[in-house]
Amino acid sequence: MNEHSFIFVPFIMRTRDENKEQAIRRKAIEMIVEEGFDGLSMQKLAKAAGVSPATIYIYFKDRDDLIMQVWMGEMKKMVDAILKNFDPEASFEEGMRIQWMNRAKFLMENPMSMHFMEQVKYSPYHNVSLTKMDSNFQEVMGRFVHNAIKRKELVKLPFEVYWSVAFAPLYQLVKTHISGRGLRGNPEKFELDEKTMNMTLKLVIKALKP
Amino acid sequence: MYSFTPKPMETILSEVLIFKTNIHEADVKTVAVVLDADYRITRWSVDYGDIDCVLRIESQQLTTEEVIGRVSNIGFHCEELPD
Repeated sequence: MNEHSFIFVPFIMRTRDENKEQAIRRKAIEMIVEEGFDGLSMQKLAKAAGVSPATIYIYFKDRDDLIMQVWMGEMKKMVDAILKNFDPEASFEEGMRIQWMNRAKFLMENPMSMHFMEQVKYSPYHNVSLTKMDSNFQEVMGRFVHNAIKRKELVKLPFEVYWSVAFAPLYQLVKTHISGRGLRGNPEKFELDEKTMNMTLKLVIKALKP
Repeated sequence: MYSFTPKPMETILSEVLIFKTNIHEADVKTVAVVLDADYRITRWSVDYGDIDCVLRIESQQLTTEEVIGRVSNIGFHCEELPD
């Protein structure tokens, strides 16, 4: 490039390429899940995603920004999946059934995403992620719970206790399903199907009744 | 009836310029004096964690050469990071 060439090409418009951005996000999740946060560098990520480091910087300003933005993207996907066909005015049992189905479906279809979000939860990024929670989602979930308490379908509990009873059993079943085998050295393959899910959900609903 | 076909590529209105530098965290104030003062820069950041200390600038009007000139003037290395 000679010193005058910029006169003819003053600047090249960089464009956002949806496919490239998705490839970067997908590879970043893979690298973090496989190698942890320290295993991720912009240089390595560029190589893995088949783009130049400069391309990554079009979308993300540094590693922390990338991790947070990827987290927000995955969270949004999960929230959209959970809210599909979900009506906060529905009965507690019906609302829980929809949520369990939606959550299980999303997590089973996106095990990498689940793993990545768990890693964020137990890392210093967690504090930042808390400030970026989807307020609409929290509002909808809050309304659902308050409706159920008002209708005497749900016992009033501290949020953490409610959440643990309401969803932790499902998350554990999903994790066991993803691991591909039963607990305690059970050689038989464990599969989380609708029947198993409904059986567990019934117990959860029973436990949460006032 | 309208039919809307989304464009596969969306042009960002603000140009993103990307450079390899030797600006480290300790130099941030020196660099900020120059970059903050330029009203044409919408946003800028340096990735101190990267070996290339990548400087990222969002601006609608600045050219690569102008940025390199400004950053070099205050004694830092600055070259465009090619695609």
